[in-house]
Amino acid sequence: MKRITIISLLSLFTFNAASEQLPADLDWISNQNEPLFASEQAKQGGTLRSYILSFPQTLRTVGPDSNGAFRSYMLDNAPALVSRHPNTLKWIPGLATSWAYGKDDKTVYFKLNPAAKWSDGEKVTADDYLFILTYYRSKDIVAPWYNEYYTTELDTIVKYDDYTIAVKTVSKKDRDNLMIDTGSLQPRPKHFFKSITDKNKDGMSDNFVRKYNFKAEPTTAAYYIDKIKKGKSITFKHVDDWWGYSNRYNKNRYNVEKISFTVIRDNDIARKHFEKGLLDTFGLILPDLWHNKADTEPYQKGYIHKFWGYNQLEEGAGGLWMNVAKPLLSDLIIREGIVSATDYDGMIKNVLRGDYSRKPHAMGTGHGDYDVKKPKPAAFEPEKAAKLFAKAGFDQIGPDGIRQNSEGKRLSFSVTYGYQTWTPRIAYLKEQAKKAGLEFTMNLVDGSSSFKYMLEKKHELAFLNMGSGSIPAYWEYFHSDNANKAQTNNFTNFSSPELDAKIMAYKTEFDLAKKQQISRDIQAMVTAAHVIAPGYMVPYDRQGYWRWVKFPKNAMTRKTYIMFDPTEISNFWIDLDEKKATLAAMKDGKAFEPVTFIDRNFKL
Amino acid sequence: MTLNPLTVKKINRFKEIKRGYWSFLLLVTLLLLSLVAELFINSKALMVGYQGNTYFPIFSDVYIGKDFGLNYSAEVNYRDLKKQFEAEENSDNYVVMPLVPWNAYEQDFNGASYPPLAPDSATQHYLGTDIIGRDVLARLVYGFRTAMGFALMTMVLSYIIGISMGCAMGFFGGKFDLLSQRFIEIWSMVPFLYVIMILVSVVQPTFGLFVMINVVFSWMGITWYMRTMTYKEAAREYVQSAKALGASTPRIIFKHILPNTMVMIVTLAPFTIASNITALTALDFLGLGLMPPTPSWGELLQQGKSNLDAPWIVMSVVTSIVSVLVMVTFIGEAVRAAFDPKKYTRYT
Repeated sequence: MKRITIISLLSLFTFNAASEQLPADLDWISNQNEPLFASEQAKQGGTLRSYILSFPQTLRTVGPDSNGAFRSYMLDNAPALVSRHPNTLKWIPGLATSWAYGKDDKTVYFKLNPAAKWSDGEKVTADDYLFILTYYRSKDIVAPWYNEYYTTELDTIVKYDDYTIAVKTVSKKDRDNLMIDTGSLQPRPKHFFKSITDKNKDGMSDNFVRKYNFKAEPTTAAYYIDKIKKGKSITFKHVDDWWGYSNRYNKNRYNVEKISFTVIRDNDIARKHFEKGLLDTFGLILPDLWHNKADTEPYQKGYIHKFWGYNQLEEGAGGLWMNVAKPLLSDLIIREGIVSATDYDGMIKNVLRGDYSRKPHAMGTGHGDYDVKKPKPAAFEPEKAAKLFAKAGFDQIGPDGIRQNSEGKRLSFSVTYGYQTWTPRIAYLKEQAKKAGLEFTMNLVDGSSSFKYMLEKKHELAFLNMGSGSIPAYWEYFHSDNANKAQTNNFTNFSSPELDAKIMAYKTEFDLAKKQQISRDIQAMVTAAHVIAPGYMVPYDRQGYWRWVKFPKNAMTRKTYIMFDPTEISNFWIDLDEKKATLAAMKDGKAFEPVTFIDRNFKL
Repeated sequence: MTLNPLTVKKINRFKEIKRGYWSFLLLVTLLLLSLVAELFINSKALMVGYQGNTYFPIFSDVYIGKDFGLNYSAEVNYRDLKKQFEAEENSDNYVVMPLVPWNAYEQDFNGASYPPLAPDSATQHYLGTDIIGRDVLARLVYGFRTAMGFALMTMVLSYIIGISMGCAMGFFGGKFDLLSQRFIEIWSMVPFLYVIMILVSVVQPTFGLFVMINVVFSWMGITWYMRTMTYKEAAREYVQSAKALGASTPRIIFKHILPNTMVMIVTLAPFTIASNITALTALDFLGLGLMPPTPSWGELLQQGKSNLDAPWIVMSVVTSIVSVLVMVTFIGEAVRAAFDPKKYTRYT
């Protein structure tokens, strides 16, 4: 019944659209004069050869198992209506050329770029925006978060003509938050879902999840998926005559012609591929890689250069997540003990060489006034933890040094994590936790299946870091709607009526100061609940790159996450002449000066 | 117990094959020693004398710091305690540490440099440390114990199943034989590695479970040999005469047929052990093996491969694997030769 109402409502709007008049007194903004962050010297062409550790579980961008790392190449980095300037953080045009705020504090009007095209050549029109709601509200996509978000946050999308729309939110918001919710919309290709079986009449294919598992949708981004060798590689190709270059902020970006991602299941082997010149860039974020490993012959001979650039990204929630649905972890005192017995500081100092830094709060940082002022993550205090465990009934020390309660139950939890490279980190936590009589067992579930494992809430403790938007998100992590359900981000299964109330208030609050206060309240509640031991963060990117990869002098932006990610800021390019020269020099055994480029522009 | 003179002859012949015999002695010694490795390689003290009392931490439940006048209630760090007692003047307190005062799990971050640390007798890391500062020697020895334990248990269990099945198939023949053969053919087609991967992602691979999984997929090998052997033996005259004398089926199988197929089992056993060790090492290497941080050779090999600039890791583990496998193979070879009725076809 509800579905029918939505459908009829939608059709009502499309019908009304023709008669709907654009308000006359709108103040159109287009922010065309912000500084550029790419270089005029950039050259187009070449192939960026990169790798992925495991083949993505799906090429859908929504639905089960879609929220993986690979999605950023297909969706997260694709153009939205507007985006934030990566340095000044002002809104700049994306798929929209200009925008205007409505008087009701709920509506934003957008003029669309008429040049915009899908990668299959179809024009991007207002209908593709109207289709967003059909797409994300459909039950067929099996994505409760999206169903909820696109129903409770977004009210309607109104079409005035093919290239003018308005997006209306459910609740009043200040301009910045209004833009975050509306401007981040990315159209969905309506024409791509033209001929589908749709028995429940919600506008989406009934077997969407299975049917589109390995069918990539057309994109508005510069790169589309060109070739797929299942389990082996995925190749992206630059859209011919890409519409995006009509937007000045995209000029001299996305320079490579092709991107090939080969599946290499082992980082060490990938590194060897890189050092042989079979990959163009390689991440050296890990301290061991940067300090010890990046000193082989190609580095010494200056064929491979090293890049260290600082950024200032918002940090999402992360650390050691405790699943309160598991026995013992429902006990607040035990959770508090675990937080005090988890030695992240020591791990950063000893295992990570002090290169990383501690996340000040479990919910992340860098959100301005949304964050608690100067939070201090709990220090490692085994004595305090031991007292807490004793208070929770674990007052005996077993024959192996691990605490037990009177029933003989050992104080032991398994930590689930996803990568073998993290084993040393968890092993460190494990050894330190013993000092409080707490045992961590290590549960390595490799690659993308570990995230699935956590989404399905099979873990006791999860070692996990999440990304973040420019304002913190709480509903997905702590609302009772998501607790004890598979495929949601409530990794702790923790929720309470008070927290629910706060989260809903946070979502609907219009006044910025109040909203930020609620956000701080929620963070305080999360701290008090001791459900996440705050983890670490990495305030920089480090890469090794072959000398034919070039970039502007001010390479990093505030928001550059991975310098040589071809779909992100992507202001680097491949100099094919330099490549030829380098290969020739290598053949002759000629060496260059070794280079380490450090960009400290955004170092705090 | 009196041995069959034929058996005595075989044992003597085994002893004559020197490298097999010595390998056998060495490997058994190593295995026995590894069973009591806690006495040689341990972070716990062998003996502590404190205020006139003597303590044996290895054999007792843990002592916490407060038991020895320290200010913490976690397990005692005996290396520090030893230093402290040695620094005290006029005191009878003492700590006797094992040969290698490290266990296979604790991490040595000395603060001066980052692990892996090179072999150094001053720190008593005789083979250095791995990338998170754990003693390589300790991990090798405990890893050896795990590997051998795994190999032997898997072998015994899968032989029990395999031999019973094979024997039954050969002895009863007919439909049972036919169906079992088909079943084994199908079962052996199940991709072992995938099953392991799936299971590992669902449950935490404990030692027992891991043995079970391996048994489930490795009992088939011996059935074919046993089936053939039993077939052959069952047709022999002595079995016929036992039958004529009215011997029961179990008696025929256990008293007559099995002893005569022993040759096959004893000959194959060492090679099975070798392949089991290899299997475990390979799975650990791939990260699909025992749950970390269980000391294991595969995991050390994995570390060694990632850290070729710390050659002590890869060198110690490769040397260990190669020598154990070579020894096992020598034993197998010698056993095979000793049990071969044709005395002069020896592999040399």
